Amino acid sequence: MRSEEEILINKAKNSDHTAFRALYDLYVTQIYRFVFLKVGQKQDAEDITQHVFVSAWENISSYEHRGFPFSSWLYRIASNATIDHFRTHRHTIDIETIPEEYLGNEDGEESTIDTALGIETIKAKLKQLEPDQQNVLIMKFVEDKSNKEIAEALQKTEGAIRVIQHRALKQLKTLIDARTHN
Amino acid sequence: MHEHIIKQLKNLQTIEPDNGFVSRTRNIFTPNTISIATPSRSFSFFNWQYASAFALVLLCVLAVPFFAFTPEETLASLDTESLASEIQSLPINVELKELNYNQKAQETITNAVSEVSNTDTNHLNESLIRKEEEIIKAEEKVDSSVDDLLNEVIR
Repeated sequence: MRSEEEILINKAKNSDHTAFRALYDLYVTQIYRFVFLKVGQKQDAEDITQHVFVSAWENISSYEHRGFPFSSWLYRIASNATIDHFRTHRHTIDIETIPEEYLGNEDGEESTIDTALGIETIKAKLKQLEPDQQNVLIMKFVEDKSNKEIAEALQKTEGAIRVIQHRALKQLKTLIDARTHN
Repeated sequence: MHEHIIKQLKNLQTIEPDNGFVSRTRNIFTPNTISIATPSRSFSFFNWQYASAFALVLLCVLAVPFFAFTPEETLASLDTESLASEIQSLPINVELKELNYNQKAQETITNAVSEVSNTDTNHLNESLIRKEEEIIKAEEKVDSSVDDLLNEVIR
């Protein structure tokens, strides 16, 4: 028996706008979040997210359901779109140029690690990781995706995903420790 | 330590897109929106299986008149057996041609040598004889005025 998502995909492949809008509603938030955490700018994140769904709509006829959620395909498009974005805009995020609000409170009152790891801080540190490390951490811990689905979306093996995840967490810890000690 | 990081990463789930952006983008995917290309329905049906079948049918359609209306001589040239026999006979034909040429050349040389060695005028051909006769006749022409002058001198 086919899943509801599969039925929507097949309808969308036959130019059913309503079906595609249903898929859009299902995934727009997580794709936006994924893109936003990578590019860091609201306007850029909106532009890229829109591009991802337009591209998906235009190319949905080539989509083949292989047992993975539709989001795997969307994440792949989003990942490529962010790579293109950085290639085109040549953005280099320098930690020194990040606004104060993104770096959290630095007045020395943060004595515990929990307070040091504010949302904005972890966003800033996340952006200092390699693109693959960012992808894995966001998909694994922000979006709660399985290693299998992440592997499908990023076109890597599950073993490679585990290695990237381990290195990413280690790197993120190093970055946060360095900031805490400073 | 990783647990703390993971916990903070999970806090990022609170990030959500602006509602205005979500509805604006959703409106793009309506039948009345012409700015976005609708995925071609025909394209979704047009896969490689159909393309292969179409190519096969096209090949048959083109091949039938070709074999039906092509003269047998043309087709015979495509016969592998006849081509093989033709190739096998090629060196023999070349050798025969060489033999014929050598034989003719030898005959011509023999004739030429015999004509040169023969002093009898009979060996000359008629055209040469006629030409020689004309030269002789021209030399034998009598000019009467010269005769008259000679007669006057004698007197």
